[in-house]
Amino acid sequence: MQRVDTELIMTDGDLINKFLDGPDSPAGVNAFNTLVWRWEKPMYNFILRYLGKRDEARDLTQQVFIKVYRNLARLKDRERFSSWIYQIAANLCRDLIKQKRRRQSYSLETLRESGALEETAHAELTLLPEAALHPDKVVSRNELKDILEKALQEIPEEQRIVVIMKEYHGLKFTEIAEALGVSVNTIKSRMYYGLSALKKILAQWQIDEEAMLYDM
Amino acid sequence: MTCDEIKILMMDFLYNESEPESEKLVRAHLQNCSPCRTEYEALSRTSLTLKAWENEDPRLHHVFVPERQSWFGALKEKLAAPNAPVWGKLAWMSAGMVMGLLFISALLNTEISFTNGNFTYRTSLLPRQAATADSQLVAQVRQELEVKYQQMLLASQQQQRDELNRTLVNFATEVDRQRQIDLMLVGRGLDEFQQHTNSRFQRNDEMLKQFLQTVKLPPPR
Repeated sequence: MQRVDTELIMTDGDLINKFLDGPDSPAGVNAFNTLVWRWEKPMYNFILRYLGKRDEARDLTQQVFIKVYRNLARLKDRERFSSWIYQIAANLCRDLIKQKRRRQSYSLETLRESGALEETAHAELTLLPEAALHPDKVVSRNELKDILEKALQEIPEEQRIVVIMKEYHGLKFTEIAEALGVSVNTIKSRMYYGLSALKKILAQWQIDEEAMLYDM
Repeated sequence: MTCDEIKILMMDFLYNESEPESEKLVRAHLQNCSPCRTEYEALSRTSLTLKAWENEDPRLHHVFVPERQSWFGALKEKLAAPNAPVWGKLAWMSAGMVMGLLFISALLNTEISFTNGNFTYRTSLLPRQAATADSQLVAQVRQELEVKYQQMLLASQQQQRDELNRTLVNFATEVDRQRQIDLMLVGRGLDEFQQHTNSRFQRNDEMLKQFLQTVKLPPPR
């Protein structure tokens, strides 16, 4: 899709204004599609890092933009769009996790009855990254990506989301606090504990700078 | 400042969000506190390690297209939009008022008639006259339907009688024909029997004559 050059240099706020001036006009639709094009990759990667599932990340990315399309008119402060869209994505992720937990609780009952639960403890060992099983091995960038994907899933959700927003999306602590609806100090505290937990996990798996081989 | 208190400020320092004052405090603390310095360096390395997971291409290309609007929605948007001209808003309000009046008129059973150059306007909560006219019409239609029904019933009965008569006549004709055939066959059988009997009598007579000729009877005493 060809994008108008002026739209590419427009701020999110300007694009939103253009869209809201005529949501069904070609100019409005183009402005919204520019917004989608701009935020598609960050949203997908945010959800992917939070949930760790690519297919779920694709579905939820789509849902994020549908929600944005429907509710954009309610956003009073256009400059808060960044926090707002992360808030939508985070809420959708949390809803999905809750849904999965509910389903899991049913299946755990079945597992307990069938006595298969004891086997899962053993099965978890196989989920450890390859590098953890072979500490001397130098890991490539792709392997490191898999390790980080697994490591992020190991830390609590509330810390994970803050780490992702900060490390991968460069949001300020105030923006994260706004998106998650908690105080800035709480966010900084979660960031500290999340980063510390990741440090410990990576140390346990023998992942440090020396283990990294950047195949560039 | 204690080591626990510095943890929060350390996060600001790590991500370059420190206020100048707190930055000075953190720098001073890290210079003097070896465990906190080690912790800061480790966290800094972890942060660097995390960066190794680069953004992936989602291979998604969402494109939104405008929703198809109904003619009513399009008209409403054109006439009642905030930036619509004054005449548009007036037209929309007038249309709304007309619709409202029509609705109220319907609720009040309003009747407007024009007879002999005069307009008549009547409203009533109960549509009495209309009900009378309707009931007369219903009675008339019901009567007509009754007559039609009787006619159809008679026609049907007549048709059934004719059908029965035709069947009986056909049956009688068939029985008569069968009787004729039977009588003819019986007559033919009797004729054959008579001919056969006659021929046997003739043959017996001839045999008797031959016998008498061949046998000489003694003279009577």
